[in-house]
Amino acid sequence: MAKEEMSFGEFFKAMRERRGLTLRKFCVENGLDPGNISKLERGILPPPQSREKLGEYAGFLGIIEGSDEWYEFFDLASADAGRIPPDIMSDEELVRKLPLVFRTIRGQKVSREKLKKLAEIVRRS
Amino acid sequence: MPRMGIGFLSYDVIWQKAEEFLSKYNAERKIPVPIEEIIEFAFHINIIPVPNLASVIEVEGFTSSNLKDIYVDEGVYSRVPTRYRFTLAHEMGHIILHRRFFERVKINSIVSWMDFYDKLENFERNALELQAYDFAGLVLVPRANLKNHVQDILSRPIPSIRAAKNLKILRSKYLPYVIEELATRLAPIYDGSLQTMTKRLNFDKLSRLIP
Repeated sequence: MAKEEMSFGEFFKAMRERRGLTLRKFCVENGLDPGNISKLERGILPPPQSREKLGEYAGFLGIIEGSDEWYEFFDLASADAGRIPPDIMSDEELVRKLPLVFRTIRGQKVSREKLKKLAEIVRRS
Repeated sequence: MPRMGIGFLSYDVIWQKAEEFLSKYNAERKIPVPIEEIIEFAFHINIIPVPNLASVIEVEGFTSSNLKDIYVDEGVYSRVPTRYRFTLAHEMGHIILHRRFFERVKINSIVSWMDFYDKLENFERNALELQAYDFAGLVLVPRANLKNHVQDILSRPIPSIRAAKNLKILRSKYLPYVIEELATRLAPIYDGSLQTMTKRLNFDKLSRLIP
């Protein structure tokens, strides 16, 4: 994907991967919440609009202040600000995210009630 | 079987698949196997931490039906590295071994997803899960490495084995203790759990190296 086609989250992820850091290691290294950063990268959370917070993230990602990537990082954050992420996943999208196979810790079959709960957990993740 | 394209896979076939996977994605044969990096950087699969997955549904991890995301219980993700790594390798087992099954199943609504879950027989579910478990063990603890490591550390329990023999204790009696000692020494090398190491030692019949 060309950089100019990227969303803020995709660019964020690409920069993190360039540093050779998995999401978990990146978050441990910088004291960040991996659930939130994952949502940011997947476009479920909007980019922060505070320049201070963006600058902090850019620093964590190894983006040098004043570089082309620095400006692109801020430009994408600004562009994505107008895009309101859907706060809830559509059923069509949710179905693609549900597991076809999984095993419970004790190996028992899951009730339909729990399956509904699982679907809701996935919808919110 | 097979009803939904879930076929029998022997342990040796799964071993071959695990070796192919390691040759391609861990060509440097790093130990511990960098399974998290392989999933994120080579497969571009999102690893998504999910709060309360284990406490509410009693599930530690699963793969999305489109094979693009692996969801992991946040507690396991953050605090239990050996279980986390095994969960990731297990889910890769589904992705590598069961791709055709995933592609074949067509789900178009939440209700049809629940119906599919209910219709899947336990033996089918167990077959898929056990195959993925075997794959995970063979990826995280590769056969050749394990045999070499066992040979390297086997001298450690030898004094205890000699003492047991002098006391005329049967091999079958002291063997489990020696296997446990080996597993304890091997676990940090592979960043694996004692349970994983014990299973791998047993599955590869490495107890035959123990006098």
